[in-house]
Formats: sequence, structure tokens, C-alpha cells
Amino acid sequence: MDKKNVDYYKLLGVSRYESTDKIEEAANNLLKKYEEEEKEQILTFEDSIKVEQRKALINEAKNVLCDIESRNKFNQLYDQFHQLTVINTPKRNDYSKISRPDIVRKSTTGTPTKNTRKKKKITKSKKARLKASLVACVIAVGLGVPAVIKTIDKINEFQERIVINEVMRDFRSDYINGHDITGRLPATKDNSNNWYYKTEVLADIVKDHEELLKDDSLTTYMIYNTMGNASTLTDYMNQFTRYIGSYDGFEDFLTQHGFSSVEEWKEVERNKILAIEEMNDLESENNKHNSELESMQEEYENKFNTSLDNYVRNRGGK
Amino acid sequence: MDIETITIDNKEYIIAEELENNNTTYLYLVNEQDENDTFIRKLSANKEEIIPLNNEKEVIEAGKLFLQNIEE
Repeated sequence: MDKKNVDYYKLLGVSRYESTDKIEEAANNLLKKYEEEEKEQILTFEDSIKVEQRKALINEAKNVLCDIESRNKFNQLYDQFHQLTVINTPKRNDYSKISRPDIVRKSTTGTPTKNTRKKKKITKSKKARLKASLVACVIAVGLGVPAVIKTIDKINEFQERIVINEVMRDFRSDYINGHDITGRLPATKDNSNNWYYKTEVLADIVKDHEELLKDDSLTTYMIYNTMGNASTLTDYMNQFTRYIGSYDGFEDFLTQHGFSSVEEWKEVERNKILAIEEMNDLESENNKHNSELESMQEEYENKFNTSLDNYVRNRGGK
Repeated sequence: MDIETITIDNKEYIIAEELENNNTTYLYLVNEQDENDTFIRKLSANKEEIIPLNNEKEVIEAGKLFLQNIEE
């Protein structure tokens, strides 16, 4: 955490993996809430000071977490702090070891075993963790991510909060943030920019393809096979189309969604991705333009101020 | 809470879920000592043995069954 040991994520009520937009929204909502409280109630001097301090802290949290560089620095401290303090919470499962071929091999090979069972006592949280492993297992065999998220939500309803915090939430936020849920490419600081970029692309695909994503098997298949090794958009697109063509139920999917051929589907996908890429380029061009305008404006202001100073000095001299 | 376990290849697996579909009972197994060691098996027709699934397709079907069961 920061020098004052303030957990900004906790303060704003957001997860460590939350997007900047959501963080800003959470901070603004909190500030609005405090402002409304100030208007509605007559606060004592001490209380109003507390509210002001709280608001200052929220603003500080917002500034730190909404800036990539300062957020990265804060995250380093945050992670360090949590590793040192999280002692009695369950160990986070490393889902990267669960893979589709492994699950399929273990489920389909081996010799028959006698159905002799033993009873054992187990805690509720332990059971929840085992369920989380099963969820990872079904993702690994290519089932639907939306369905899995619903499943996780459902599990959350009746399992202990600690499990949600330490296992489920991380698992879910990894998906939401575009991190590799199957563990094929662990998110690291070195390639975090790639991940953010992929997240945007994925988010747009998800948004644009709500109908398509109703086919759960296909969804996971897409994500599982395309998020893995792609490092650029072109690479991503190539993998996306290559893998989608090898999906077992793809022919049915095409018919169901009105595509006459694989090529037509690929073309539609490619155009969408290119449109996103173009939009990103335009945005970057726009930012560059704005930045140039700002520096021009600054230059003019400086020139104007210098001229004004000279004018005033000359007049004074006269 | 009580839970059932079985031993396969000298390793103890917890039966985290047991579900039936079209007269086949699927067991969802997790190794308590290594939670990445997780897979699916089924009961033989006479229910006396725990046997592997037929193929990858059946694994996917059993996975779907697991999700549906939790969602409902």
C-alpha cells in the first residue's frame, strides 16, 4: 500500500483488477455520496473535517489508480503487502496446470476401479475450492465462459466469502480483464500492455457478438485458443480465424448464425477487428493532434505574456 | 460436512459432484492434495465399478452437465 497504509482499492470498493473507467466511476460515486450527505445533514465541525479528509483521500486514490504509472507502483506495494499478510486464507489455485488435453486424457484413460467409497469430513470453504477447480476443469475442456461466470456467481451465493475473495474473484476478474484464465499465458508486468490491448479487443468482440456468444462452447473455444499466444492484433486475428475453422461444431454454428461459408464468417470478423484497429489509430492520431494544439497554445500564451511584460516594462520606462 | 472419497491409482480423490444423465452417473473428482488433479469418471452399468469416459465428446458433455446442474 502507500506510505500511510491506505488500501485505495478497498477505499473505493473495487477489485485490484478493475478497469480505470470503473475505478473513476466508483470514486466519483463516493464523492457524490459525501457531497449529498454534506448538503442533507448539518454536520458538526469535527464531522465536516472528517468528511473533507475522506473526500481528499478518495481523490488521492482516484488520482493514483487512474494513472497507469502510479497505479503500477501502487500495485507493487499492494501485492507485496498482501503476500505478507494473507496467511490464513486459502492458497490461490494455480489453474495454469489444468489443461484440456490433460483433463481429457485423465478422464478417458485408466483401468476400472472398484466403486468403494469412504466418508470424510471437509470444510465448506474447502468444498468451494474443489468446486472452483472443477470450474477450471470445465473451462479447460472448452465449455462456455459466460456459463462459467454464472456458475461462479451461483457458487458465490452459497459459499463462504473468503473463498470468493481469494479464489473466485481472482478467477473471474482474470477473465473480465482479459487475463489468460486457462493459464496459457500468465499476465506479467512485462507484457501488461499487450494484455490491456487484448482486453479492449476482446471487450469489443464480446459487445459486438452478443448473439454469437450465446453459443457457449464456441465462446470458450474462441477465447481459449486465441488469447494464448497472440502478441499483436494481426497475430490475434490469424489465430482467431485459424482456430475457429477447426472448431468441431463450427459448421452447425455457421448455419445457425446465417453465414454461408467459413470465409464469410472470417471476413466479418476481420472487418470488425480492422474497424477497431482503425478506431484506435484515429484515437491515437487525435491525441497527438490535441497534444500539438496544447503545446501551440502554451507557446502562444508564453509569447503573449512576454510581449505584455515588455509592453508594461516599456510603458513604465516611459 | 461429510463428503465421499474414492482411491484411484493409490491417490485419494474427493467426489466433489455426482450427477446422473441418461442413466449414466458421472463423478467429478478432485485430488485434495493437488487441486489441479481433477477429472471426470462414470459408474459402470451395474454401478460396481468406476470407469473412464468413452471419448473427448463425452468429457465435454459431462462438463456441460456439471455447469447446468450448478446453474439450476
